[in-house]
Amino acid sequence: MATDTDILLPVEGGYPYVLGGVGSWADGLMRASPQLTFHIVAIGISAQSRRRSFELPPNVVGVTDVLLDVCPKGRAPTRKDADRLQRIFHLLEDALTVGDGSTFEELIEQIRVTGFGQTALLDSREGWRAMEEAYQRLLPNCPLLDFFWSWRFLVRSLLAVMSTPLPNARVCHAVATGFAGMVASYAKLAEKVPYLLTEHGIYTNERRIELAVADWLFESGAGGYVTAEPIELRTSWLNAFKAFSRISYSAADVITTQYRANQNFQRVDGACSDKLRIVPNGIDVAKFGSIPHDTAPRRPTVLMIGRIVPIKDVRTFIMAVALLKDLVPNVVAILIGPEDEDPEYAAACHQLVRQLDIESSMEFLGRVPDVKKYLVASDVLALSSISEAQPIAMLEAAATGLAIVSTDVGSCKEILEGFEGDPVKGCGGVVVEPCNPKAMAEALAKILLDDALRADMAEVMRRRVASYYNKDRVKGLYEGLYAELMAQSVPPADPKSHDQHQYNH
Amino acid sequence: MKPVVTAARQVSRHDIVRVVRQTSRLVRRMSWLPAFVVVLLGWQAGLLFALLVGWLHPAAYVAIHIAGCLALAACLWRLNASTKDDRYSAALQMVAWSALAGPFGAFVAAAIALPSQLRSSALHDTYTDDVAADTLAIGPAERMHIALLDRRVRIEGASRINPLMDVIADGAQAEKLEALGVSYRKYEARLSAVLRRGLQDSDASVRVLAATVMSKLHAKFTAKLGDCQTEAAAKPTFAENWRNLAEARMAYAESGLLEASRAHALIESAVEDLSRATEIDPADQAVIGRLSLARRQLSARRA
Repeated sequence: MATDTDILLPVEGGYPYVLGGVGSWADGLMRASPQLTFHIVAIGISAQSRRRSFELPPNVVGVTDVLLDVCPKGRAPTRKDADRLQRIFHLLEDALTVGDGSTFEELIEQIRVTGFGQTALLDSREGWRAMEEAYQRLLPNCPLLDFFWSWRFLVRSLLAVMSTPLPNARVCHAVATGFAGMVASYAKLAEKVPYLLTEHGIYTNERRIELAVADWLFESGAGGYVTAEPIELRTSWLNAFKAFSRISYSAADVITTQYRANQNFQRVDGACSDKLRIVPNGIDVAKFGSIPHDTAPRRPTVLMIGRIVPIKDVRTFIMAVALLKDLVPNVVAILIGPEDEDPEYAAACHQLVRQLDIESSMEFLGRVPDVKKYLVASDVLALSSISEAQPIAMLEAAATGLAIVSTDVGSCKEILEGFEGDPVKGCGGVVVEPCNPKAMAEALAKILLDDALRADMAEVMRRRVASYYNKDRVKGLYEGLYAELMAQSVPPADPKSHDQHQYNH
Repeated sequence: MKPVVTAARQVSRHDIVRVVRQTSRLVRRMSWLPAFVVVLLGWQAGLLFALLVGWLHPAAYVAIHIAGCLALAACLWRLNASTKDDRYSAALQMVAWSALAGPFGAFVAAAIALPSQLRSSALHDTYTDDVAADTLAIGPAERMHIALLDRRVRIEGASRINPLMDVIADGAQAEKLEALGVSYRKYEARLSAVLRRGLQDSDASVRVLAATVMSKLHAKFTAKLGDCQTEAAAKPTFAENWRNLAEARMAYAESGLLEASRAHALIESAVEDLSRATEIDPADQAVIGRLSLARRQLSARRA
C-alpha cells in the first residue's frame, strides 16, 4: 500500500504556530532534505492560537492538529462491558504512572476494539469510580477536585492521541518525548511505523522544572518539608510525564540527542543504551564563516541574541552589563530578539536598565532582518540562559568567529571547551555559572580587554563549528537514520483487517 | 549537676507557692457555707431547746420553724437562680432537711453536703492552679517538647525530614529538585544559600532548576519594585507611594538574592524614598522609624 508521506513529524506546542528553538530546528530539518516529504502533527490545546508563525517548506504535504483537550465521545458502556472497562481503567492508570510499552499497546488495542471514549471512560459512573480509586491510590492527601481535573485532562489527552487519524508514513520522527512521543509511540505500536525519537532538552527535566515553580498547582500543608513520599499534585503530573518518556523510550527504534550529558538522563529514565545516538545541531558554516569581520573603529561590543523571555535570563545579562561598565567603561551591549512572547518580562527588563542607569550602554533591537550584520560587528557573544540544549545562535556566532561567554547549560560547555575525541583543541570562550552577573561581567571583561585571547578563542570556535556542527554533516546523519529505519518499515496493515479484528473481540 | 539542683529548688519553691495559693482559694470559696451551717444548726437547736423547756408553745414552735425555713428557702432559691453557685443549692438542701427534721435534719444535710462541696472546690482549685502555673512557668514549645519526650505526642515520619541545606548538599536528584521547589514556594532570605548551593550542583537538572527559581524570584521582586516605581512617578505627592517604593527596595535588598553592591545601592535608594516620604508627611512616625532603621542598615553595611 502506498504511503502518504515519508516522515511523520509530531511536534508539541510549537511548530508551525510558535516561534522558538525547536520550531526553527524542525523547519531547518525539513528544508535540508527537500527530496523527502513531511507531514506535521502539531500537538496543542483548543485554546491555543493556530495562526502559523512559520511559512511551511514546500516538501510539507500536510498538517494534522492533535488537540489534547478534545477527544471522541465514543459509545456508552453497557453491563456487559464491566470487566473490559475495569481493564481499560487499569491500563490508563498504568500509562499515566508506570509507563510500560506493552500495556500501552494493549490500551491502544482495547480502545480500538471497544470504541470507548470520553462518555465511557470519564463521563460515566464507572469512570467516576475509577477516578476515585486512582485518587485513593495515588494522591489521597490532595483535594479531590484538583486531582479530578488533572486526571480528566491526562485521560482525555491520551484518548486524543489514540484517536487522531494519522497518515501512512515510512518513519515517524518525534521531536521530544511527552505527547509528541506518545503520538509516535501510537504510530509505532498501532501502525508499526518505525520510530525515531530526537530529544533536544530532556522532556521530563523540563516539565519537572516547570512544575516545581508552577503557581497553579495545589500545595499541601506539608510543602515546607522534603519527605520521602511527596504528596503534591505536581507529583502526579510528573509521574505521567515520566511514564510518557518510558513508553517513548520503549517504543522508539533509535533515540538521538544533541550532546553526551543528555544521554545519561535518558538512560536514567529508562532508555536502552543500544538505541542512543548523538546528532548535533548543524548550521550553514559556509554562509556564516565567509563574512569578513567589521574592522571599523567602534566601542567594545557585547552581543546577545535570544527571545526576551525568563528562560534566557536577560536580567542577569543586564546586571552583568551594569557591572561590566565598571571594568570596561565604554562598553555597549546589543540585545537582539523578539519581545512579544512575554511583554511583561520585556517591560521588566527595560525597567531594570533604567533602574541601573545603563540606558546609554544597552540597545534593545527587537527582531532584525539580518543578524549576520551584528555578528560581524561585535567582539563577544553573551548567553545568559538558564536552560538550553544546543543553541543555534551560539553556533552561528561561533561560525563567524566570535568568542563567547555562556552559562553552563545544555551543551554550551561542550561547544566552548570541546568534548572527548574532539579534534579541535582549546577553548572558544568562557563558561560561567547561571544567575551570576558578576562572573559573567568578569568573563566578558577578560575577553574584551585581551585582543590576543579574543582572537584565539574566535579561531577555536570557527574551527570546531566547521568540523562538528556542520549542516551538511548533520543532514547526512539524519538522512542515514531515515534510510536505516525506512528499510525496516513494513507496509501498513489493511484497514479492513482492523475492522475484522474488532468484531472478533 | 548544678542545673539539676537549680531545677529542684525551683520545683520546691513552686510547690509551696501552689499549696498556699490553693488553701487561700479554698478558704475564700468556702467562707460563708460553714458559717451558714453553724447558724442553721444553732437556730434549730435553740428552737428545740425553747420547746423542750417550755419557753415556746408547740404551735408557736411550728409556726416559727415553718416560717423561718420558708423565708430562708425563698432567699436561697432566688440567689441560686441568679448566681448558679452550687453552694446555694447545698444550703437549700440543708434548709429542706432541717424543715423536715429540725436540727437533726440540718445536721445530716450538713454532713452530706459539706464534704462534697469541699471536694469539688479542691478539685476545681487544683485544676485551675495547675493550668495557671503551667502557663506561667513554661511556654507552648516547651510543653510540646515535654509531651514529645513523654511520648504523649508523636510526629509521624519526623526522623525522615531533613533540613533543606542537607538535602541540597547530599540528597538524591529528586530530593534536591523538591528542595528547590520548596525553597521557591516558601522563599525567605535564609533560603538563598540553598539556591546558591543548587547552582553549583554537579547535576545539570539541579543547576537549571536552581537558576530558574532564582530568576523567578528576581522577577517577583523586580515586578513589585516596578509597580511601586510607576505608582510613585504617577503620584509623587503621596507619601504612601514613596514608603511603598522604599519597602519594595528594602525587601529586595534583604532577599539574599542580590550581590552586596546592588543590595547596598537599593538601600541607599530606599533611604532617599523614605526621606521624600517624611518631607511630604513629617508626622508619620512609622516612616521616620523605618528611615532611621534603613540608615542604620546602611551604616552597618558601610562599616
